Amino acid sequence: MDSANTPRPAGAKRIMKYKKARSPSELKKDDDAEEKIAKLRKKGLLIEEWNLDDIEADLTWCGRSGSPTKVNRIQSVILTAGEYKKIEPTDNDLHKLVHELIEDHTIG
Amino acid sequence: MIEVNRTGEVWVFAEQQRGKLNEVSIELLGRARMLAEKLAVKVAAVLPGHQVSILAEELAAYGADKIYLVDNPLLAEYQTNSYARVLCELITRYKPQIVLYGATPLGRDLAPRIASAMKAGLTADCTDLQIEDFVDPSSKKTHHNLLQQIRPAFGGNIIATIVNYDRWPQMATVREGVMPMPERDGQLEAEVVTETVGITPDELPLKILDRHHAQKRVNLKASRIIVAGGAGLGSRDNFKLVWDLANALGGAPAGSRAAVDLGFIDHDYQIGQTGTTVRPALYIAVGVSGAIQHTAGMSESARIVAINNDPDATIFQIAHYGITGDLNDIVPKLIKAIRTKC
Repeated sequence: MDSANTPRPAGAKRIMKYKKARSPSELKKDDDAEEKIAKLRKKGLLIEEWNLDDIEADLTWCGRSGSPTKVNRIQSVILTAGEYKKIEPTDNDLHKLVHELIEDHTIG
Repeated sequence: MIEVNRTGEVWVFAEQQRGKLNEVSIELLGRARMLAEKLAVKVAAVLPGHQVSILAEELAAYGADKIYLVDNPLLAEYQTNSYARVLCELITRYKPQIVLYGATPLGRDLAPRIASAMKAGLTADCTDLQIEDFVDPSSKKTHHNLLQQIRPAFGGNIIATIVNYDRWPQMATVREGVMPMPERDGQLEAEVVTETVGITPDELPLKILDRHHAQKRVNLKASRIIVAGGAGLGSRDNFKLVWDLANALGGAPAGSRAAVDLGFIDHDYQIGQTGTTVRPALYIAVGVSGAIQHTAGMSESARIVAINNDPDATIFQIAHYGITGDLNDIVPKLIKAIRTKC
């Protein structure tokens, strides 16, 4: 063997234990939904679901209309071609660039 | 939340740790002044802490008309609960229109806590703040003089302008270096309002056992010349070209996010949206593509020189000088030219 096997993911035991867990919403289309829900609950594999009433949510704070901040405007970022001074990668041009930066007191 | 108060002040949370003001608070005072002038109201700084009254003078010198000072031994070290309690109580008492925070680790912890407690709106990481009217598209009602909270979104592909017209105060966080530093004027004075907020030790869930302050290796904001390298350098070893060019110029080396993620340079040297924002006299971008997240942190440099082998690289769109070619050839030549001339 040239190298070790890929290790199991962390929490592999938990994945195996809960891979059959379901929520009531997932099961509601089944004919025997009630029976399945009861079985999963007994095994501790029923994923509890809460609705807005369960958490006593204030609807005026939910969704986009409930957000205290609103989007006024969206602008796409379009980069237009800027005008830059093209410098050739030659000794001569690079010397000129350095000279220009010294002249305008950027460096030196 | 507080009711809409058109005469409310513009506040800046004066972040300090161990008696030292965070620079972003000073930057925000400059922007707060501009906003307050448009609204014809005052600028105030909120200064919680212990034995920090000496900082009031600095805040005044940078433009605060008023300082709300809350001095309490229990505020000596930052804790979310105590500081949030102070801000919430003062906001409830004085009803400011706008409250600005630095988007520092502390500010990012504090501001959302206050927004949640006050049921007010908060926009994080704003790159600009303006005052304008807003017309609600559904009700057609015009809300005058609202804080326009401008920030990039969706990976920087859009700029969104956010408003909060009824769940006040209007609050925003702004990153360090985004707003220009205002001029200091030692002649300016401010009214200091000493406030009391009852905090008991039982309300502080954490006990600070020890404190270790790690100094940043480099102060990029203070550097006049910066040479930044990107992923185009190819390797950590090759990044030596950036260090050599920076040394030749007497400047500071830096890197793009890509270079940092690839391990070419440490995070302390990162420029960009998730790094430092700089405005040096000269910025040389070596092998940097020019992604918007990077240019957001350096586009206001006085002179930008871009070196890239791709003539279509985005960096050239904001550069003043562009050199297309192999950086492994260009950078040594540039170093030689600098050493010959200087």
